[in-house]
Amino acid sequence: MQIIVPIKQVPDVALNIKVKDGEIVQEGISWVISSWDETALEAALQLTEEAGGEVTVLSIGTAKVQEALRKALALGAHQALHIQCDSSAGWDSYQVAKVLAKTLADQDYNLIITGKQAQDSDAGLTPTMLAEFLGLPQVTNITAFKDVSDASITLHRKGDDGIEISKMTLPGVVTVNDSLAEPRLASMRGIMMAKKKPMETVDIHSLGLAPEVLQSGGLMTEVVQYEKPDERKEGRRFEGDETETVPEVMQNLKKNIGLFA
Amino acid sequence: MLNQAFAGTGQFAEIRDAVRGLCAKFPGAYWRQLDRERTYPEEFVQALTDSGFLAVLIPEEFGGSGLGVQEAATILEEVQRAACNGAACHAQMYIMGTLLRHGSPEQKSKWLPPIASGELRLQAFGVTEPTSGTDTTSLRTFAKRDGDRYIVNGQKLWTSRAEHSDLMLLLARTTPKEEVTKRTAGLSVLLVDLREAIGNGITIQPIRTMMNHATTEVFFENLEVPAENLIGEAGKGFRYILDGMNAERILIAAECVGDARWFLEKSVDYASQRVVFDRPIGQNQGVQFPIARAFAETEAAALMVREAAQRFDSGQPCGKEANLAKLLAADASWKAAESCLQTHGGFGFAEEFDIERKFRETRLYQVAPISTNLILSYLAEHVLGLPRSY
Ligand SMILES: Cc1cc2nc3c(=O)[nH]c(=O)nc-3n(C[C@H](O)[C@H](O)[C@H](O)COP(=O)(O)OP(=O)(O)OC[C@H]3O[C@@H](n4cnc5c(N)ncnc54)[C@H](O)[C@@H]3O)c2cc1C
Repeated sequence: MQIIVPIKQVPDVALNIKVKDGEIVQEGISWVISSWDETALEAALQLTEEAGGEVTVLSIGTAKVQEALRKALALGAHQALHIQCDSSAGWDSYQVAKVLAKTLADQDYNLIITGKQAQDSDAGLTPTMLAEFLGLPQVTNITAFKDVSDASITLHRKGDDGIEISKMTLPGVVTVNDSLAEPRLASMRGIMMAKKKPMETVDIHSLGLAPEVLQSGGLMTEVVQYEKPDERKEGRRFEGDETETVPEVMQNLKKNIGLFA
Repeated sequence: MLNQAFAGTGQFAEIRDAVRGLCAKFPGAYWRQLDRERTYPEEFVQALTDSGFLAVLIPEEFGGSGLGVQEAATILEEVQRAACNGAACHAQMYIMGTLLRHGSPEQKSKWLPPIASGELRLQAFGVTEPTSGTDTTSLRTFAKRDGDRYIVNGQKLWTSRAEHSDLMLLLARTTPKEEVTKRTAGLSVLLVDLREAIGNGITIQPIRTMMNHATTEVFFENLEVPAENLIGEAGKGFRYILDGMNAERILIAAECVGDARWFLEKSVDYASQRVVFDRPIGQNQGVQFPIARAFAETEAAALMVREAAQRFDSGQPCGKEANLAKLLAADASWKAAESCLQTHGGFGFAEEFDIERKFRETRLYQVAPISTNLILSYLAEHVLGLPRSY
């Protein structure tokens, strides 16, 4: 089983991200692998541990994304492919999917696994477009895999009222929900081994893409500006015996919010 | 929330990242519970072991990562910065150095692989004694050669983690002080297998301290140690121990930098949020300045730690730098701890903020493994050329 996991490097949301004049302040940002992609990688690693095969991680960006690829290798991916470009800032999902599709067009694989969306843009459009461009079936928001073979896979999706089970022929594209698996942590041994694993860099211009695909900013959609939401006020906890706290809560709702007035 | 100002340098980013991820699984509540009960962080130590972080300094041929003190320092700094407590296991990283540098090929191939895999723990270091204290060469624990074994009698104090270690590195006298020309001669290093020794010549008594430290006193009564467990040559033990001290100092200094960065971040967050007299307390210079000063001292200490570690790893002499690093870093973490507690006012004393716990924990490094005064004495004598004061 050959699995491709495209990963996106995103700003660490645990850090205080600042917005100035409608733009995200780049200084002080720390870059991490988008958390859903970590789940995708975990799923891929578990599948190859079970069924054999290899995981290739792939990322588009400046030399900086090699850090994310290196981490993926430390976690257990077998090889990495870096599509090098000067800047992919502001690209929309369509552009990314086009580049991925072109890159993967002549690769051998059974399965492409991605996060269900990226942690920064939250759009969740790239995998669907990618499946479309590659002419592959796709199942989204997967919570479990069963009966894996090189030719097909059974997938569980969680809905509001139960689990939907589908069988997909391979090759295909799957996006994962973070409840699928807890991503593993890199070990010292993994970090050491990562240094020896292959990482191939391909210049984006050598892929033969139509020039407009690589234009800066979005091609189909454009982000006009960023705004930071107002900070949420701290909540209040009512602790103790409910015969006392419930009336207190009611009183508060009446007084401060005007409910039940 | 992580503040980039306290994130350390970009070096070894992948190691920092992995250690952070591991530590995130051991939050304040875990440590508070252990602290209350004075119990050993078994799960945390196991997790660090399983991930291979405690074996970074062991060469690859023996199953470790074969990395340097710079990487080891990075790991311990991150552990402390995540409010975990490396004191539970930091010695696993460096005690084996004596075995590595002075052990025979047979000793190394027998002991290092199981230490690297975590099957055996070597994290007890018996140097300090009740009557000798800092004056190590006056130690009295005696190992008498008797055929193919040594018979050990005496007592060690502050032997940390002895109850959680399979092996102990022991410094004992093998030639009485009166019979040697130099007081530093006649001391030897023995590797004691605690699994066999406990109840057969060794008794361990835990000592409750102001923090959760698993420290003990160890009594030796006719303990038999096979002569093959002598590390290096008999009588040269003091030099072997001194040899390992630079690594220890650099690593403890790195822990202090981690502590300081944790305290600083807490201070800045709280000073920015806490509103008194209708403005954040951090708007007052009286609150800002101690934090800013501790920050400056921490950054300077971090540079010295880096310098010392780089020198160590490239095989250059680093006694001066290792001692400076330990002194500056322990001072910086203590200053950061003090300003953090003060910034938090009454809340700093509440257990749930972890500040009072870390405050107690970081205070140790003014005293152990070497007290601040003794570092100053070292610098005065060995670096500045002033007369020996003791
Ligand atoms: C929690 C804890 C864990 C420890 N773990 C270990 C361990 O695992 N293994 C181990 O071997 N030891 C361990 N130690 C011992 C530690 O290394 C010693 O406590 C330390 O070296 C100081 O020795 P002492 O306590 O005997 O103090 P003393 O030597 O009695 O000194 C007391 C004070 O006097 C000062 N002083 C002494 N002589 C001079 C001088 N000439 N000039 C100026 N000032 C001087 C010292 O700086 C110190 O402040 C631990 C100690 C503690 C508290």
